Amino acid sequence: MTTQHQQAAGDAQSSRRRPLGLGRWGETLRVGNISLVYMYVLGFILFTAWVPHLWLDGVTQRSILNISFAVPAILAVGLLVPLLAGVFDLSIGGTMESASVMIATLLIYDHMPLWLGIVITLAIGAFIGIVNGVLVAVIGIDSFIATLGTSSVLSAFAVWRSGGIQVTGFKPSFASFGGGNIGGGIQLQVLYLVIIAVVVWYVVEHTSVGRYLQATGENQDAARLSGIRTKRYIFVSLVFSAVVAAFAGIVETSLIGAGESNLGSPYLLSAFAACFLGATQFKQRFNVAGTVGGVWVLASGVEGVTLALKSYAWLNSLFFGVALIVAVGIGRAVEINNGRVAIRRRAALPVAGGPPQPGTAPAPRHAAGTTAKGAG
Amino acid sequence: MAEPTLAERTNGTRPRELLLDIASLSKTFPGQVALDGASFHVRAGEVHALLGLNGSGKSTLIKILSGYHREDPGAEVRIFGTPVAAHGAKAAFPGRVAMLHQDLGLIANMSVAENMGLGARFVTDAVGRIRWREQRAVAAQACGRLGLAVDPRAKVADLDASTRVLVGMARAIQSLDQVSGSLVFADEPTAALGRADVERVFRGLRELAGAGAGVVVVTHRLEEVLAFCDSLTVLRDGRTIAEGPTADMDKPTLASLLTGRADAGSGHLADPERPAGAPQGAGRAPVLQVRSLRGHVVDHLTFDVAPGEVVGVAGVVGSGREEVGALLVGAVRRCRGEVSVRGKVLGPGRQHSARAGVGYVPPDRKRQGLLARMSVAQNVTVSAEVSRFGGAMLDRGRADRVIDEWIRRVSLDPPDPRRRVSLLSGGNQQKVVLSRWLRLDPAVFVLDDPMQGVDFSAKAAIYTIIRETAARGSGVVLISSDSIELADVADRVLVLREGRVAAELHGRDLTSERIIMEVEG
Repeated sequence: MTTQHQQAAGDAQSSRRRPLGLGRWGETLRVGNISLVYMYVLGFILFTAWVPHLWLDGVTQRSILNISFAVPAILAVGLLVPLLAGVFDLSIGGTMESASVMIATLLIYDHMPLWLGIVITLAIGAFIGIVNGVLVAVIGIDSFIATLGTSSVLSAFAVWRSGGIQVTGFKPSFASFGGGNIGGGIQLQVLYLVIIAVVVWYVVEHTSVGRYLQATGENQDAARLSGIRTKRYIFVSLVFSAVVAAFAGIVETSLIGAGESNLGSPYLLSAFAACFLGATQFKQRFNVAGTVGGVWVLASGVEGVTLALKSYAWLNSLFFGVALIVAVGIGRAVEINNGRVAIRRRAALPVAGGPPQPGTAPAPRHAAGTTAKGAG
Repeated sequence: MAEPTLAERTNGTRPRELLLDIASLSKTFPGQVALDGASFHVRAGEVHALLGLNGSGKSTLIKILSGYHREDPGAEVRIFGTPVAAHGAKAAFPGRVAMLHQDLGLIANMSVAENMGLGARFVTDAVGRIRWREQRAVAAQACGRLGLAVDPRAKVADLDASTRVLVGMARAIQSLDQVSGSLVFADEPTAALGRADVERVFRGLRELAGAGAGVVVVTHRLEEVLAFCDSLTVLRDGRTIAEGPTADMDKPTLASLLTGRADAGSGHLADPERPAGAPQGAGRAPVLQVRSLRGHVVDHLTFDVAPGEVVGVAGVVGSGREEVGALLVGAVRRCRGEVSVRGKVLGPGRQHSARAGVGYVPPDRKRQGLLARMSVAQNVTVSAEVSRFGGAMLDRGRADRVIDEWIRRVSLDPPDPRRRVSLLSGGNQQKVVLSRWLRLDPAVFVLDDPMQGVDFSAKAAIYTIIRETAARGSGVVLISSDSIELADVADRVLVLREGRVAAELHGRDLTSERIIMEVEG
């Protein structure tokens, strides 16, 4: 009986691993798994039909890439690391603001060379991350509260340091730090994004460190009892997100040509939105591809709607909110459904005549019922 | 029914009303029979103990009666003389059945009166404002039925353990129309209590029985059962092994009824040639040395574990047993004392013990063991990722081979490394957690109540795995609440009482009955 049971389970399993025909692709192409891609395709068709001359224009697509995609994506990829380790970093907006004001004042008021200004600003970012790390990993304050606190302190610092005004007067060359053309109208900031995203992707997906980060975020107790230095990973992840946020602040400052003490908050929201959206895609956890894709789809959607409906001030926020809730909602619904299917499948195993259907098709609803009758 | 004579014997000539009458109750889970035609009878005015070791089916029975599980078809169940489905008992008689769950369900940060209100309904006025004075009176009255005098304004967190249980009980019974003729279930209300507290709780239950309720208490405290209960039912392997008045019982009989063998725990899994008197592995250099270890409860714990030896640790809740594992591996701070592995003293913190080769299976698999949403493979490798260049690149090919090997060796079912670990059965989840360490060949393997929520067939497999691990030269510490398990698997058992080693059993003395007796002192 037991061996039969195991046999049946084994068969069902191997048939799951070697799906017939479209089975495997079906799994990959499931709406819940890549709802972002479907959303993007739908949006693309919609805007192509609606405002074809505006939407299918290289200028439009480039402006999405350069104006509303790269910097939010850099910030989101940085944020992804602490989120993977199971902690929030709400101070990335404040860090961006502080970095923006710092680089502006260092370069304009203190006449520092560009490289030195960048090094100092990034070092300040690292310092902010260390403070967060001490608060969260060493003292043990809840990350949500601790980084909310530092965020507020950083905003105060940015306003104080800038005197509450835009700091302007960069040399023209500074604009090319983020906005330099690397060919095809694509700006240098996109290259930064690619580099950072690839590094984070590699570390998360292909190194031990990435696995330990994930384990820490999944279950800190279990990870610690497995011998992982969870506090250390949390600490380092917060330093990383702060340094990346500082870098994003420098890039953004170069693009707008001014040190701004209030440029952070919209980016904070979009970074969180993209990370959580991305977590519903591909992996069922935070991942780089989902996050970057999330920023791209959201940015395209906002751009498309703006083109179609002209510009309304409330459009961005509305679109953002709705897109996030819909995408995450779909992911959640699919996850619940998957759970049910898996439970039903497991319940059906011992006495079911044949292996349950592989792939996406949910086991028929009556399957569990018949099985129970068979058992009784 | 065939049993009415029982009640006549218990209560003299006049049989009391049979409140609960269950026969041929079965419950089958996939791959496991939890209840196998069990019977259970409860009369008005008695405190009835429901006894059984882990996996005997007693929690399944309670869960069916509380409507959580549905019994298999074919059971004959009468409640208050009416034939109903057992799982519908509470729904069918909301004013006559009360249930106290093991975790009590009290909100620690709220007052007694508030908790009472949450359990039923707050006493409010026309605009919905809570009338606190009356609410407090209601709460005080409900507690009074158990003979409990407590200030309704007291915060639950500030109450002592036994009072908390009684408040939970009072809350459970406040929905009863009347105590007399009602059924009251208490699931392990005394599990976490000391002896004096246990007595207090049982006195409260006696008050209810005195008022005419049929009180069912799930417990494993044999002394208290004999002292305070009128009758008892013993479950074993899903069957009712014994029913009757406690007056006919004594402790050794009860112990052997529970374990099901006269020579319980002759150690068939441990070395069959186990020499009487001499612990196995004696003479070899110990792989684990514990010296005057002290924690919150544990005090002056000193013992050695030789390579190849399985040392069991037994004790009731609160004896320090729950603390030993975490202290050994450094998951909690050691107040005093030393733990050395292969002669090297461990530093504080889990990472030091992990590096020294100490595997650890924590007691709470869900909270401390599993990375629930991750795959089997990731759960196995998390103890040390398989990588090249010092972690700079995961070595997936080698990792797959390691994982496949262990899936085979622990016969994981289903043998799918990519399956989300939360979708496995409890036993298979535990095999995953075991593999996490087994693949690293731990010098010392500390297993903290590893059989919780593990079904019967997986249990045997895990016992074998533990023995094999020892045979390969690991020193194993098996901390367990299950006396049969300890008697079967361990070479030697340390029995803890009040934080200290009260007895050390080995050889012929190592039987599950002796453990049960020693544990209770």
